[in-house]
Amino acid sequence: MIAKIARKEFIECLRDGRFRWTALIILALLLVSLGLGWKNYSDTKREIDTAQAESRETWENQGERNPHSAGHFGVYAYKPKKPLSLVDSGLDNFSGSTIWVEAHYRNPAKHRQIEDATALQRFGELTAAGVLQLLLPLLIIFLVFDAFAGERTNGTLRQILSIGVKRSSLVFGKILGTTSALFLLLIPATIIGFLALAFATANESLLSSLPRFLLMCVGYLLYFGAFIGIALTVSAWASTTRLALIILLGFWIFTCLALPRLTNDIALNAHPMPSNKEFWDQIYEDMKEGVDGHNPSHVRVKELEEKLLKQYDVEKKEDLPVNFNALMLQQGEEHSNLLYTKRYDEIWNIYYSQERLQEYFGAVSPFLPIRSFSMAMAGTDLRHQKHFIDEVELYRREFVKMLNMDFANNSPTKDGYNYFVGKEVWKKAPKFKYVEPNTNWALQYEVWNIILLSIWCFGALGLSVFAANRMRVI
Amino acid sequence: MFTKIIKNEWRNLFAERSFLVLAIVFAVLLGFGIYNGAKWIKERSEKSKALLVAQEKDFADKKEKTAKGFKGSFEPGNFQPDPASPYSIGMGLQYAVLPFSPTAIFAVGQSDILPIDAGVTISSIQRTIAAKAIGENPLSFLAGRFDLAFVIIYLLPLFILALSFNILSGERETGVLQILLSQPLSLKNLLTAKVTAQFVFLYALVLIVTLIGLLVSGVNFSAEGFLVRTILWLAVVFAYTLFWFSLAVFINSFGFSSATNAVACSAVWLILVLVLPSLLNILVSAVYPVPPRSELIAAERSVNLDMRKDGKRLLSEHYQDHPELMPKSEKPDLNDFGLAFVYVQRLIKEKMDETQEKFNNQIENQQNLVSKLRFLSPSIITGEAINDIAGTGLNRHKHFRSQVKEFDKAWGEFFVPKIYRLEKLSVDDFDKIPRFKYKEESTSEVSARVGLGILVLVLMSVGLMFLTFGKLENYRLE
Repeated sequence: MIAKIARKEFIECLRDGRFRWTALIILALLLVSLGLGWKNYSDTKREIDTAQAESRETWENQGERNPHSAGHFGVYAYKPKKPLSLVDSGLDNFSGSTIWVEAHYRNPAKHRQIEDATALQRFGELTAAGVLQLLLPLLIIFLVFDAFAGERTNGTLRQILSIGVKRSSLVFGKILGTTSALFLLLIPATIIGFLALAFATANESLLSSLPRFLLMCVGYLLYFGAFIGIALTVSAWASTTRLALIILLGFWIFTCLALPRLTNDIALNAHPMPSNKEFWDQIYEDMKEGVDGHNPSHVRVKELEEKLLKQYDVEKKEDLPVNFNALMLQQGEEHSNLLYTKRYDEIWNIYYSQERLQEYFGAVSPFLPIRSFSMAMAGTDLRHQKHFIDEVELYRREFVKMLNMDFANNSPTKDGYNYFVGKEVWKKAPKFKYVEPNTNWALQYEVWNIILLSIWCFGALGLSVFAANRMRVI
Repeated sequence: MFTKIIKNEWRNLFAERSFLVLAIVFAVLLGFGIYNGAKWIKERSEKSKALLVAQEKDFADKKEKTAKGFKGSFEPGNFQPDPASPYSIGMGLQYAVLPFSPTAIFAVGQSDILPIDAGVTISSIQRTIAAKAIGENPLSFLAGRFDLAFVIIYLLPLFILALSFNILSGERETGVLQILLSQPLSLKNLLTAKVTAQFVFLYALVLIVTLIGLLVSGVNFSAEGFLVRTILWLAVVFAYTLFWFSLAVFINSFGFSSATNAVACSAVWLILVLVLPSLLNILVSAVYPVPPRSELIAAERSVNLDMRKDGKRLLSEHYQDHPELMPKSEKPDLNDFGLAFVYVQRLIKEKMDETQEKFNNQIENQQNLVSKLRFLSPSIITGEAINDIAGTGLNRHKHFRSQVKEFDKAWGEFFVPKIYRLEKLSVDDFDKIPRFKYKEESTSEVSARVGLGILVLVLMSVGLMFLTFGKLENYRLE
């Protein structure tokens, strides 16, 4: 019986002009956005690879200078584009993509793509994820809103039930029918998405992206399941098709359109950010007074001097065989590394608090958990951004230390800064190589969103069975 | 008869509970949008103000120390530069602040991403904290802000469509239409009266809530330009409301069922508000692609000089080329690290400014294209207009940027020669340090840009109504 109902529902969908047109438009948008995502991915990847190589080349060919000057010249680290960003570009355009790696300063990631765009960008971006998160639920609503309400208005509901069809079979049939119709759209889209991914990536990164891609698909299925369940429930409950449609559209507007912005403003107000000046003033203060406020820099320098004089058994700083200036610089680095970690983590904790507050609202909107989950799987969310900047910071420490130690070990203190080296030293400097965290790493932060999505999906589908069992027939 | 229908329509509206709930929700959302805008402006301007206050305090402090003859301290743990050193002030970061316009409450716009506290220094900017901004949570840009502009551009049309998607089909489906038309009343008049009733109600709602919101949030009504900008805003919202009502009646004139109308209305909304702008954004950035930012980095790094190694040569060349910069009393120390640093930084700055111009031009080209393409979607027209009126869009920022550029030049011209001539600032010089004062863009330019948008919105609406009346001739009553 269920199969029969599903088949009828499926055929009806296909014959429905509304479905055909909306499905075609959505499929077209999906394909366009995948194509654009692919192009964007490959263009950006090429740009980044070139820029990264150029940065290294400029570094190696900077000519002769003091290693500390070279530390100020520094290199640049570019955030690699993730393969799955072609499906969901997430925060890519809104977060910094480039970090200047230099001595003394841990610099924030800069060059947010959104800085180079007109206000049109703020209307939202056409991505496959956007189509799946925003438009597909609408398609589901258009498909399902009259599932029960329509049969009731036409009087067919009474007939079906009178011939002994179980209400639960009716619901499962409807779920199955609608889902199959949706799959007509989703399966080609998934295949094309996969092909785009395969073409865009090399073999090894395709393999590492595959689990993420599959998990993403599961996430979206749960999301669509939630909307099918909600739409069926409302259709069973509402007295007229018009009412069902209005309620469902209202739900969509609230959950997909208004709530993300509402929660964003609530989160921004609840966890305000310090201004840029406050942030840096604090860091300068820390540097001067010591990270715990008890060992100001001149005291630390004095201690280092005493230690070195003792170690090399000399009377004066000038007699040291190693370069005191360089060791002092390195000591400064070691100290500032601690305080940068502290202060940057404070900022990121504000970001995370804002994110968490938004995620709580996932309990009233399936849109919020799927948005987070999809970004996390694509590797374009806050956690991945933080992972990148932390990796760059580790690299920066290694890079600066290498320069300082070369300076310290190869010139005596009496030469001061008059120690110049060239290419052979620059070539020895470490190269930045970013390794993307694996799927498990990304999943550990997504437990809440996965639970929410599952509750939304199975809860809504369960509710639709319940509502169908209690719905009025006339 | 016309007024009777209007009155009747109002009575019907107020009798429907679901409608009242909807209206209250909409009013609350409007209020929340205004609240958020006001909060953003208040916090953001406080931050800017703090910068300016700190700057003036620093100048006053240095002036006082100079007057007392303090020459700086090199004691460990208490390092203080000479307060009268043009190097330490000029190299320091000076902020040029773009104040919010009196009507900024209408839209957060681009003010959360464009630098409204622009850093100015004689050095190249990337060394300063102005270029090391930690910035807002990226998540916030993804979601977008819940400001008044969002409520107007996205939600207002939805509310209009919720009211009027079945303006004729509803009457027809309940059989009321036939009865009504048996009276001496034409379909056109009936429709016009019904739309007028809904329009007046909705517009009044927006007007009242906004007015209360403006009053409560303490906007300065007497500020210069407030009145003109507010009138423009009212006109834009009027025209935008008109457009969506016209669209709803146009869709109704096809004679579909209410459910089909609802689907059609939401589909059109989707295309005009969500899909078209993002497609146009792709087009605009494809026609005028912004070069990769790494070009800016390449420009900065193309000046590849070392102060310690190349300083002496560069400085002696520089003094030969510019004898007017030669200090009068003493000979400059060509090994001076600071002097060489200034020289190299000025070179880098020049290179970077050139490249930055390329970016600015491309964004300007994009913006000009948007100004033309905006006519494809009423929500883009309205979005652009509201940003323009609120002064939080690219146009006013461009105006600001050109003034910052001049200020930057003045700042350099004040300090750099003093540095090369090894001069110190006199007590009087502190009052002569250039200060940034923003000159507001002329409201007539804003009016012209916004006015054209309004005109097109109205023309679109009139066109739709014209088509509707044509189609009504063949409207089937059953």
